[in-house]
Amino acid sequence: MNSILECVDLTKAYSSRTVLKIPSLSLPKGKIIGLLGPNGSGKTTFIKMACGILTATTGSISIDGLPVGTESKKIVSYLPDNTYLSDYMSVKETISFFADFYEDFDVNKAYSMLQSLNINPEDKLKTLSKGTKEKVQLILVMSRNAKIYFLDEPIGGVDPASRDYILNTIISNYNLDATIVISTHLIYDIESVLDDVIFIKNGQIMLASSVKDIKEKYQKSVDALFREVFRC
Amino acid sequence: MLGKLLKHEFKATSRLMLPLYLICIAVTILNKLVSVFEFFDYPETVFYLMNSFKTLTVALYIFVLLSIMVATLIICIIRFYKNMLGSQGYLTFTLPVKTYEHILSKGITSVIWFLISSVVVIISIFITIVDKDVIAELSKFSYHNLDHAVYYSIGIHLIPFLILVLLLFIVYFSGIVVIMYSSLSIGNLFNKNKILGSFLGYLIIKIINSAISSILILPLMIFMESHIDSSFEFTLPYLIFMIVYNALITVLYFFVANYILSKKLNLQ
Repeated sequence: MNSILECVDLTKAYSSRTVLKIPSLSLPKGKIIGLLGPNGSGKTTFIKMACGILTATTGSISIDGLPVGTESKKIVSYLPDNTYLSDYMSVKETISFFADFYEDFDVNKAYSMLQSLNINPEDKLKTLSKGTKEKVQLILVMSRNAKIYFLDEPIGGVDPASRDYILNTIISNYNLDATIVISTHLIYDIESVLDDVIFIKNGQIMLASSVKDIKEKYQKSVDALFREVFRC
Repeated sequence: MLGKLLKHEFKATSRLMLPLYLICIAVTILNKLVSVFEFFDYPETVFYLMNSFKTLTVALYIFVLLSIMVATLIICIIRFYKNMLGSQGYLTFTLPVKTYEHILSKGITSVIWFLISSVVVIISIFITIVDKDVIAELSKFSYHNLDHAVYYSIGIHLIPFLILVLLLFIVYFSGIVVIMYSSLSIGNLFNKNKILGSFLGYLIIKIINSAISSILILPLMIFMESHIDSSFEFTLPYLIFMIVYNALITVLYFFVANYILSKKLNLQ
């Protein structure tokens, strides 16, 4: 099977409002995929459903052939938009927490990344700045040898220099058979690392294509195309 | 996995529970020390001052004692809410762990804290009331006497009675805990006003429980009508009834919470 994620007739509705409607989608293995769209377009909803923290109204998602559940969570690594760690824990404790629950967690990789970013493992999370906390979360997520990574706005609150480090970390620190889905609206910064893009608007997929095809077909950068497609 | 979850639960909750117990013991000892001092021989102003201080420490002590069980409950509720339904839920529900294991680990941890809190309260009261007279009374007690007294008042021996009481404590606390979890889970189903929804859920649960216990108490009444002659024999059947009722409640609301959190999960 060449795809890591398949979804069929997937919808999510709240009361009478449908926020996501994807008749079919297939994400290939080994690619870095940009999930691009304005705020409220359904990016986070889709990711949350794939990770098992939101239940679909209709349809299904399967990850490497598995339905969303305990088994799929073993191969999915998720970085949400907000902090999801307990503030009272130290960085060291979060690493041992991840190591405890995830068999594919690489402790050495985590510590070496912390060192590169000058983060002291003994520090308690509540003493760290928001940007540093985000970096810690990213390190935890990327230290796993997962089959698919979902990164929701990984470079949003971070300074430009750190952004470069983070993007480098992302592309150099993952298993080449794994897929990384990056959801963001800072397209210009990540365009160079993406293989494929998916444009999403009002809960529906408008475009799914490789970056190469976009450049050939539309003769413009992804960022420029995005601005055109999503013009207000 | 359950073992690991339990380990982390205890780590997370003991940060709050242990200081609570420390405060309780400290206030108990303070109250005790202050109460044994008499100030009759001191000048009047010192006498009145120290008596006011004594009253203050007694009031503080009573407040702390009453608060221990309430605080235990609040800590248990807040832990569940923050870790399952707040932003930490994004981590909790992406762990490769079944939902029932999360509920079970939190439930077991909470019940253990409730039991420890009960013991702390009992020890605290004992420290407060112990003096020469109490010790004298206690040294007169023998296992045989106590066993005798229990047997002749309610018809079972001391050890089985204590086991049943412990069992009742366990299922009673378990029931409270899963009802709280279910209420919070029901509240989470609402898009807005989740906290209001939790209260609503709690009310509905209370109504359902009244209905259940009214139905269940009928066979007990019938049983007692035909079997019980004296009021003394009331205790054992009632004890067993309470254990069965609370055990049923525990199982029922465990399933409710588990169903909602595994099939209807919508973390915001």
